[in-house]
Amino acid sequence: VPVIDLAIVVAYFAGMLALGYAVAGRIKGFADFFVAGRALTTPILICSIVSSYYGLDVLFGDAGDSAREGVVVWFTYGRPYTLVMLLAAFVIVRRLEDTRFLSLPDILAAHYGRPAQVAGAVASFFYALPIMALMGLAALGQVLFGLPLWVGAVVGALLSAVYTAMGGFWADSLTDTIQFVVMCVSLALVVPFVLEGVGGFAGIRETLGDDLFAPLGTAPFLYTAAYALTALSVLVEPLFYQRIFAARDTRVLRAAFLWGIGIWAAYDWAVTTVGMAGATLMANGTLPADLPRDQILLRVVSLYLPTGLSGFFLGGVLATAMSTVDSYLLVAAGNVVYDIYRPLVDPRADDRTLLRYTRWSLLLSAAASVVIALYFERIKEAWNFTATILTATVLVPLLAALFLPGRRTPLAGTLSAGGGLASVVIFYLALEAWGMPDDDLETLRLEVLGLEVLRDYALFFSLPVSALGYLVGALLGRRR
Amino acid sequence: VTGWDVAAWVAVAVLGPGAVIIFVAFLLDARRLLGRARGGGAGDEPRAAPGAGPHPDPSPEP
Repeated sequence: VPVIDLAIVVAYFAGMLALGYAVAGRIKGFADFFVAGRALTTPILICSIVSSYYGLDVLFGDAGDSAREGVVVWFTYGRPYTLVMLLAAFVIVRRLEDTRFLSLPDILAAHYGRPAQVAGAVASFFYALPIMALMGLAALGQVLFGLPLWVGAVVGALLSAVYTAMGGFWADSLTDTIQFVVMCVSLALVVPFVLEGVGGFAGIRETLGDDLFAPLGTAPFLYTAAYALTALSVLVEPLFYQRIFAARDTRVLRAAFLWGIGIWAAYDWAVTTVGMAGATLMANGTLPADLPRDQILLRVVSLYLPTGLSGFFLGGVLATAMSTVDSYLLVAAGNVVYDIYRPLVDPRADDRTLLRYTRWSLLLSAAASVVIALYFERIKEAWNFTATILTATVLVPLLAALFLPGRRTPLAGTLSAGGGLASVVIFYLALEAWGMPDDDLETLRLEVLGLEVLRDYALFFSLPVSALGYLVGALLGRRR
Repeated sequence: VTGWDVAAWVAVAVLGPGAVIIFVAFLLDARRLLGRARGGGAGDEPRAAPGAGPHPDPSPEP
C-alpha cells in the first residue's frame, strides 16, 4: 500500500476519534446518548440511515452475487426492500408519531410487558453484534497491510467503540455523515473507470451473454420469493427504530427515508455494475476465473483506480464498514443495558447509571463481536441468519402492537415472540442435521413429505407459528 | 450506450454530486442542529426517565 494511501487511512481514523471527543460534552442524559436528544434533522438522518444500514455485506457481497447472477440482484433481491422501506416511511413512522420510545424492544415492553421485551432485546442484541463487518475489516487489514486477522478486527471494533462511547448517538451520527460522503463518492468514482475498462454494458453483454440480464433471474420461484421475503426484516431493523426515535419530527424523518431509498437504489446499481464488470474480467482472463466472489469488487477497483484515488476508495471501504460497526454496537449496548438489565435487574436505574453501563456495554459488545468474528467458525456461518431470527421473533408482535388495538395481551406477546424464535431455531437445526448441500443455490435442502424445503424458507414456516402463538395468547391471555 | 449504461451514470450522479449536496445541506444545518442539542432545544427537554412509567400508547383509540 503506497504511503499516501496509508496516510489517508490514518487521518480518517484520527478524524473519527476527534469527532467523538468533540461531541462528548453534549451528552447530558441517556436520551442524549442513545437518540441524540431526539433533535436530528433530514440531512444528518439521510447520512446516518444510509451509511449505517449498508455495510461490507452489500459492497462486497452484492458485487459478488451480481457477478454470478447479474441484474436480478438489483431488481428482484433489492427492490422488495424499497417497497418495505416505503411502507416503513409512510405507515410505521406515522404510527410511532409523538411516542417517547427509545428502542425497538421498548415498544414490545409497552404493549406486552417484560417477557416479550427481553425476547425482542435478546434477538436484537445478537442481530446487532457486527460480526460480518468486523470479519470484513479483519480480511481487509490482512489483504492490504499484511496484518494478522485479529489486528484489523480489534482496531476496527476498538476505534468504533471508543468514539461511540464518548459521544453516543451524536458521535455515531456525525461520523456517519463523513462516512456517508466517503462511501458514496468513492463508489461513484469507481464506476466510470470500470465501465470504460470493460467497454460499457455492451462489452459486458458481449462477453457474458443475455442470461445475466434477466431481471427476475433463473432460480426457482419459491427461492426468489424467500429471498424477497427477507425484506420484511426492514420492519424490525433496530437501526431504523433508533433513528425514528432520534428524529426531530415525522416530516424530517419521512424526507430522510425517501432520499435514502433513492441513494440505496443508486448504490445498489453501482455495486451491480462493478460486480458484472468483474464477471466480464474473469471470463476474459484479466482476473482469475476462480477468484472468491467477495474479493471481486476490490480486485476490479485495484485494476482501474490510480494511486491516491485507490486510497480514497480504501477510505470508502473503511467508512462503509465502520459506519455499520459503530451504529450496531450502540444498538447492542442499549439492548443489554436499557432493554435487559434495566427491566430485569434495576427498574429504578437513573440516567447516570444507564449512561455509565451503556458505555461499558459498548466496549463489551465490541469485545464479544471480535471474539465471535475470530474464533467461532460455526457461529459465524449462522450469523447471516440472525436477520431471520429477529424477524421471526419480533415482526408479528410488533405489527400487532402497532395495528391491532384490543388484541394485545402479555401472553400473546410472549407466545408470539417465543414461538417465532423457537420455530426458526428448530428449523435451522433440522436443516443442519438432516439437510443435504445444494451447490447451485449454496444452501441446504431437505425433503419433507415429498416437498423440497430449502434453508432459506425459514420465514415461510416461522411467521405462521409466531402468528398462531399470538392468536392463542390473545384468546387465552388476560389484558394488562 | 445502452439503458443499463445510462442507469449507471444516473447512479454516479446520485452517489457523487448527490451525496456532496446532502453533506453541504448537513453543514448548513449543523449550527442549528448542534445549537438545538446544546440548549433550549429538544435535547434538553425534560423527558420521562427511562423506565419511570408507562409509555404513551401509540395505537389509536378503539
